[in-house]
Amino acid sequence: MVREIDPPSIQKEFLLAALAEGKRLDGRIPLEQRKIEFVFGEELGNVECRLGKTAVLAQVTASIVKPRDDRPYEGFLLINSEIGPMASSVYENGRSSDSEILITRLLEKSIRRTEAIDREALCILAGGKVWQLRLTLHFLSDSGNLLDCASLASMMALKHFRKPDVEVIGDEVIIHSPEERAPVPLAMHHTPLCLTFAYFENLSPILDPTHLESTLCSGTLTVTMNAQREICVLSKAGGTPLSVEEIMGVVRVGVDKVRDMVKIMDEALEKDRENRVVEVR
Amino acid sequence: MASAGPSRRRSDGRKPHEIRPLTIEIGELDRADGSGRFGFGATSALASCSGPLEVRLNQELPTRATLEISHRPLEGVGATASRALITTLESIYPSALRLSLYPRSLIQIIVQSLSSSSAPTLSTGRYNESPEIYIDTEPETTEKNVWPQPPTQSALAVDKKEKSPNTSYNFSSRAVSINSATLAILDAGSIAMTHLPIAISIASLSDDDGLVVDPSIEEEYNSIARFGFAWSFGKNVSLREDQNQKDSNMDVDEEEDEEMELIWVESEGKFDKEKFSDALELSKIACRQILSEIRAKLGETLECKRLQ
Repeated sequence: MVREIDPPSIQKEFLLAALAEGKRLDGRIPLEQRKIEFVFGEELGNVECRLGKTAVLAQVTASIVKPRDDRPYEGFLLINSEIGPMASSVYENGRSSDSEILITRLLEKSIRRTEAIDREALCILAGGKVWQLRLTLHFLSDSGNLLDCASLASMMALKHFRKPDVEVIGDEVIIHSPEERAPVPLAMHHTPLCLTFAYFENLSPILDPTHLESTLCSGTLTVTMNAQREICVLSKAGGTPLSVEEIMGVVRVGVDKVRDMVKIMDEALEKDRENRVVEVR
Repeated sequence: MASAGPSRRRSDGRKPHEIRPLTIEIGELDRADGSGRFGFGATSALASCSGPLEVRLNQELPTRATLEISHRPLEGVGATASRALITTLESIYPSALRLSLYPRSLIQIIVQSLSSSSAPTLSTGRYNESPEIYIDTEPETTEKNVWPQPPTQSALAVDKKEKSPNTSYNFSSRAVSINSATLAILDAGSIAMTHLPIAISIASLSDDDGLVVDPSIEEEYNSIARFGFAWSFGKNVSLREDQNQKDSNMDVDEEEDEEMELIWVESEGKFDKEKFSDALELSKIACRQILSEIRAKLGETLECKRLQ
């Protein structure tokens, strides 16, 4: 069991003193995110997202399965999000820590329970065959704020992924190979993205805390929002109590941030599309 | 699949003994002591290495460090294929690291595959369709698309130890895993190494054809025999361990008088003794080539670090 070493008190004092002046150690202003970068893999649905030095790899695959009897029109979305020791030695294989459970639960809520993916559109043959999407997340490097990075990576991978085109003739299903017919993108309702704010006592909140900031903060608040100005998930698990005004404040900031993030995602996707041959017609 | 023999060119334009362009990246992960990304073309892996760390009491060894090697597949969770790969890595690294120098500590190596484990990615291989619902309009490609294995492939793969490529990693995935782990340990620099394992895969496309070095996924899928070799480099690698008192990081500049020894061999399929020794010789050359690329890259990385 590898324990995290507490940062030295001098470092803590320095960080707090800087924050009191509205400065952060990496030169950001309090409500600024680190740089978002996307690296697309060879296959569709394979995206590595980097938020500063935090890195998460997301991979989407699809297979055909039988739907549940009580929901014959619905496909599946499975999320595998186990944090391994590659992210940081404090995470162990097969033994989930509290923070790991918190991250995976929140991800589940922000991706699956917000109905980001139209699951009924995954149906091929009612009661017979539906698509099962499997989203596997690999947490490569935990340099703070794994959750936001993971949600970005997941949404990006889902947007990037395309499933093979299918044709239904009576009871017969024909799956067209990518060479034959261009694969089709997933039907998505919206793009919910997580934003994590960290609080310090008597100081204004900061967005996208680094690892050091998140170990020293007195509490975090995660809002999941979409570009349509809607709050999908709001999570404040413990930490110092917050006033209503403070929460409203970060939500207002979040609205603009999520819009910017969606814009960055779309630009990155567009750029990738130019370099990739998907269409065959 | 057209045979690569007569034209002396392979389907991707390479010569038979040419390896794919290498991706070597060192030290990209922030929270691990060392990390490395290694790739042959599209087949790649990322590894991290941390240690010596605090060890769990029940894993503590009084005379040497506990080496924990884990692997994560790109899709889903680790299964048999993953376990097999870990066994391979576990057979290589305990001898390459000087674990006795760090008693009562933990050394972690984590390998993350960045390419999919299912071998045939020809056309639709990536999607696991059920075979009974699959209809293809082109008869010649049908057998490639059907999952599980088409009968022709299993007829070729007569070897009793042969598993279907869907249940075990292909040899280039195994080779990149080994190479990336080596890079990660090198980058960490906190664990003394006795030698440097470097791996390559080789395939034999047909009985009369020559061997191809670093086969692509399709080539490996259509081959009759596949080999994986790892050679260990280092001074006095063939002598006893206690005579080596140096860190592998030190021999970055020493090009000459290196010694190499075979540290890992895995092979499957149909081949004779002659073919095996040919493959062995080819692997030697290829591994040397990879080593020199790693050296160049590592030198560059160290230079950058010194400048900062």
